[in-house]
Amino acid sequence: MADPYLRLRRATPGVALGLGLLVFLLLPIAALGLASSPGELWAALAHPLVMPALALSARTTAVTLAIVIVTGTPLAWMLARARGPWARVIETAVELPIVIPPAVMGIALLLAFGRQGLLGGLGVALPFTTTAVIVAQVVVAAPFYVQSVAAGFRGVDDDLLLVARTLGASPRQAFLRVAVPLCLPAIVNGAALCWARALGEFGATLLFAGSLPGRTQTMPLAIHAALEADVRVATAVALVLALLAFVTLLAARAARRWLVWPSPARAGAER
Amino acid sequence: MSTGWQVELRGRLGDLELDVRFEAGDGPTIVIGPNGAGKTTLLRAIAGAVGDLRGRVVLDDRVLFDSGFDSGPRVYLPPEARRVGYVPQGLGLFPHMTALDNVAFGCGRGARARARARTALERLGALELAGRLPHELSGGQRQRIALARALAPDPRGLLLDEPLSALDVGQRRRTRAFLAEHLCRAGRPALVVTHDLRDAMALRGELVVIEAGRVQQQGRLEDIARAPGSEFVAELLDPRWVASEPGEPGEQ
Repeated sequence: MADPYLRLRRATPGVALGLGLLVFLLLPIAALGLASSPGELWAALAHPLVMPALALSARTTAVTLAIVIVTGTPLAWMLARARGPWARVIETAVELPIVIPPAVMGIALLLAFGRQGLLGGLGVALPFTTTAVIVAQVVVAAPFYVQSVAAGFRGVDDDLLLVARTLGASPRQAFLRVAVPLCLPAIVNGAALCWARALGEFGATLLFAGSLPGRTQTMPLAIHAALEADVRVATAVALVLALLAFVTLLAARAARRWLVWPSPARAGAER
Repeated sequence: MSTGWQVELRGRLGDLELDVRFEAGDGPTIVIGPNGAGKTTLLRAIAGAVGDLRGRVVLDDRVLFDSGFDSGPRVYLPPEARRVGYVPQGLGLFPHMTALDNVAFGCGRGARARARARTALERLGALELAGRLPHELSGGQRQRIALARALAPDPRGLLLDEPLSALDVGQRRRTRAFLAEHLCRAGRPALVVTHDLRDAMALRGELVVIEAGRVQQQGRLEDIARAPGSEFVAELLDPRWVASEPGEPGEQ
């Protein structure tokens, strides 16, 4: 089915370079997979650092995801609908945390919410609490969700929304009954990206929340802490994290495939 | 009480300078004009989607929009309060809902809404399509569902944008006859945008010719054909076509 002229010829320098990168990408993951036997994995999971970190990661990322979906969906909608220069400024601002290094975000969070920070005068002092972990995760991970969902909302045909309105739907109902169901693939994709990013959050959390076992020590921080004590525990925890990320990726891909509605226009063209 | 449309809309929208004024009675009225003349914009504005316009839109003595330029009160009814059925060019069927759910969308919630939707589908001879998703329907079937959906909440007026443009020749002929039958039978004010003269002939309504955002000419097809007001109209309404019965002059 592929055009033979577009198909890649074998053994061009480009193919070699591409395959080189592929090996480079997969080799560390293979090494991680081979490092721990199942027995070692079980033993490592019993290490006192691991279970509290796993529980904390599960709790904080779940709260982060809920916050991001509840606040990020309306923000994505506003960005997708807004026209004019201000909309583009706000969009760029939302994307900033994607390109700013997490450690820099950690410092910025301290300056905003620390005891001596902008809101310190109001008695706000978040650092080194579980709340700080969630704040760091939200700031670092939300942009991935907003970006994905805003792109999804931009793809919703204006006419569908106008039709829904003329059929008696309020703007809110048109949003919930038409725009959101049609954007479920983008929402699932954004949620998966956001959750994976929150699960892996390290730099901002370390600077802003510290690494207190049971309170602020999430899985990535536990890996860092375990590395100083027992490398095998660190590898085992790392493997668990990698597996979680892999499962998230597969689930998101499957969900995306199941949730896409064929557009009648496209189906009509085939007839 | 007068029935039908009174439309007066002015404003700049991108490249288009809209300055439209016309009245139209019960039954179908054909809005015809070249591409980019502002026909779709006009329908969307009447449906309530285009802001930044001045003027007045009245349907059956009910003011839908009034920018208050005659020192009258300002009125803006949102689309959901206008009771105007709108079928956009791509039909705008919700791809994630079955035909029945599409039609029931405007009928409220629950079993009563579904019963009403079934009645609407039955009236258009499309009940057997109730369980299908839009992408499983042919162009003509989708057209029926879209019309059933627009009619189901019993709107006071209808806005149809190029209702036949997505169909192939055979479907177009059948659907045109079907549309003519149902629009004339419904008797409610309807604005039907087209750039195809055969639609105008089949629907037998008055014509409103729009060019470059303005009403160029309005009247019965025969009268306009006798005294075309512009080159576009003259070319469109070649008297040799108009003289023939509302058949398919170009489709043999």
